[in-house]
Amino acid sequence: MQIFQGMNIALRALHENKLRTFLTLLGNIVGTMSVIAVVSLIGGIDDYVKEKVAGEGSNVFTIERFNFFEAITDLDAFLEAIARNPRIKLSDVEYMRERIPSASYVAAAASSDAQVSYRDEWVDRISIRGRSEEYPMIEDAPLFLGRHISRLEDQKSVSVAVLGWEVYTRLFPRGDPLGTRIKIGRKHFTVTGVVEDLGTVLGESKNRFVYIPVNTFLKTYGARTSIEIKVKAADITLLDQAVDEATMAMRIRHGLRPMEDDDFAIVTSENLISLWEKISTSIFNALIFIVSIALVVGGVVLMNVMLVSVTERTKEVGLRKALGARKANIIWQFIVESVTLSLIGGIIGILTGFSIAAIISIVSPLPYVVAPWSIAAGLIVTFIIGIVFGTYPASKAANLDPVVALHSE
Amino acid sequence: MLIKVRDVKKIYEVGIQKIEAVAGIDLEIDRNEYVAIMGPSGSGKSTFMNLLGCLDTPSAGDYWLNGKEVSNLSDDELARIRNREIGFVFQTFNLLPRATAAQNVELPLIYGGISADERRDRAAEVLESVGLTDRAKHRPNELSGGQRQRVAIARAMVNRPSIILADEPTGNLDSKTGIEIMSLFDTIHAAGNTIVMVTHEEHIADYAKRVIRLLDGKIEEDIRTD
Repeated sequence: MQIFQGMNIALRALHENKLRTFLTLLGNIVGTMSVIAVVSLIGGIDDYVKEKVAGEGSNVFTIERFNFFEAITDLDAFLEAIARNPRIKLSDVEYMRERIPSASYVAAAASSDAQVSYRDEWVDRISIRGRSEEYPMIEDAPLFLGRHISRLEDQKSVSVAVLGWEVYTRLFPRGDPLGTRIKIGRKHFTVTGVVEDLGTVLGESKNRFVYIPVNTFLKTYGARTSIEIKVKAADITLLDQAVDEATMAMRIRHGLRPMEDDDFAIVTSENLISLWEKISTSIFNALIFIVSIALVVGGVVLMNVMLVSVTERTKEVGLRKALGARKANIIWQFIVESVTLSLIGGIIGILTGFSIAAIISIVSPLPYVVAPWSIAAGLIVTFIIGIVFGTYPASKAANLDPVVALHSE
Repeated sequence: MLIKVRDVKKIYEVGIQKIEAVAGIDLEIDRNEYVAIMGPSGSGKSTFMNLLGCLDTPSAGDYWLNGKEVSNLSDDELARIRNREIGFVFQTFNLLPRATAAQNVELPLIYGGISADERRDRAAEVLESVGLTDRAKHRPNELSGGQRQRVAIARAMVNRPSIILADEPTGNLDSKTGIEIMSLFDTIHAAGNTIVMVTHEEHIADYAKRVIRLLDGKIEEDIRTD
């Protein structure tokens, strides 16, 4: 009964002074809203990353000169690696091919950006991918037209190219590209194939690339470019073993002693997922900090409004005490009121948070999920705020002298 | 004896000055008495009223209400006594503006821990006894001054208290409505209730069967008029 009475008073106060209530609850609304919106979006990206990164080619890993993600996770180690780690050469790929028994394919890969043109049409900032002939077995590159690059073309550094979907559709709006000569930068290449439309990842087109033989790539962009070694384990269960074999082989190749650190990096999709987890964790931590500030401010404003409410209703408190209300009754009344107000702020925040997440996922490629725990967290936190910041005004009301309170105006 | 007061004092300290608002009062009031307490302002009648109503505790002396010593109780114990033993009627009615007449009348029962069904029945019963059954669902701002005071009287009686304490009950009413309210008190008294009323108006005090006059915190005169 008393709960409903307190809630009623709170709801009536809310109804009678909507603007003041809204301002009172702004802190709570902003706080819960940002938690819900960010949690929904991060949760959505989370699912996406795990599905896409882990799903496709999860038994593929890369041996690289250094791990660029380390720049985010451990900058010192990254800077040290830049200074120390030797370039990975094409001869390293040949060496590795023999020494990873658990791998089904080992391929060389190098990348750059360039303009690609055909007659009067061109597309800028296309990823030029130098590859040895195993790439179709390792990467997702189903053919739409023609054929892939052959071993012979790679060995002889022939200028041939397999186009990504976007390059194809932009340069050849109609007509057959096979056998035509396009320009990558200033160099001419003969088109041998076109890869199917691969869609987008998080709004980025996956079709902005051209495959060329890795030897051709190195001749064009400089033989001193460091390359990557892409390794596909024969089976997902052999991935760890393949990583171990590759690590061992690279260490021997580089003549490292047992206590020395690796002077190369191995990047698996697991690395990518754990990197994403690190990033999302730091986003969460920053979020918690910002939200705590919003909620503390919200709580203080709530307390202020409750103090005003106690002052406005001093006479009512005096009357209630005269009629037999004990301290606990008065405390209870004001706490129920502040908790109700605080929860209303939380609920509005949750609803607007989900709306914002939904709107963002409509206007942008970011997906979102509704995490039930975030709703519970929003409600519990605003509930606690109502209690914590309602306690002082409530106890102030409860400790009023009934004689003084009754005769106040 | 319903009320027994022995050498009760209330002393306020203002800075280094001590003010004896109640300077030693001895008083006994029996069940079903109808007492008016009179006196000029500053005579201590309001302070004494607060002591009788257990809103305040005396600085010295003893107070037995309905056989129980109440001068040294804690705040919560006093709240319980007020809830069970005392019905207050105020000059300014003191109704909750957003609650209906019936809800206002039920308020003391809520703090008495009475169930919702019984609260409703008892509120309806007392509202009927003050002639406001048809106004039960009205808010105070929809009622006349006299009706508001009758709601307040119903609220004072709903817990069947030992005494009804009325503080200038006609002070905010016109004389005709004042007479109506006083005749309602007569009826309540005739039904066996004990009434203690503070007033400074002689013609209101005339309704009482005993008039006590205070001056400088002491009883100056105690006259039975019946």
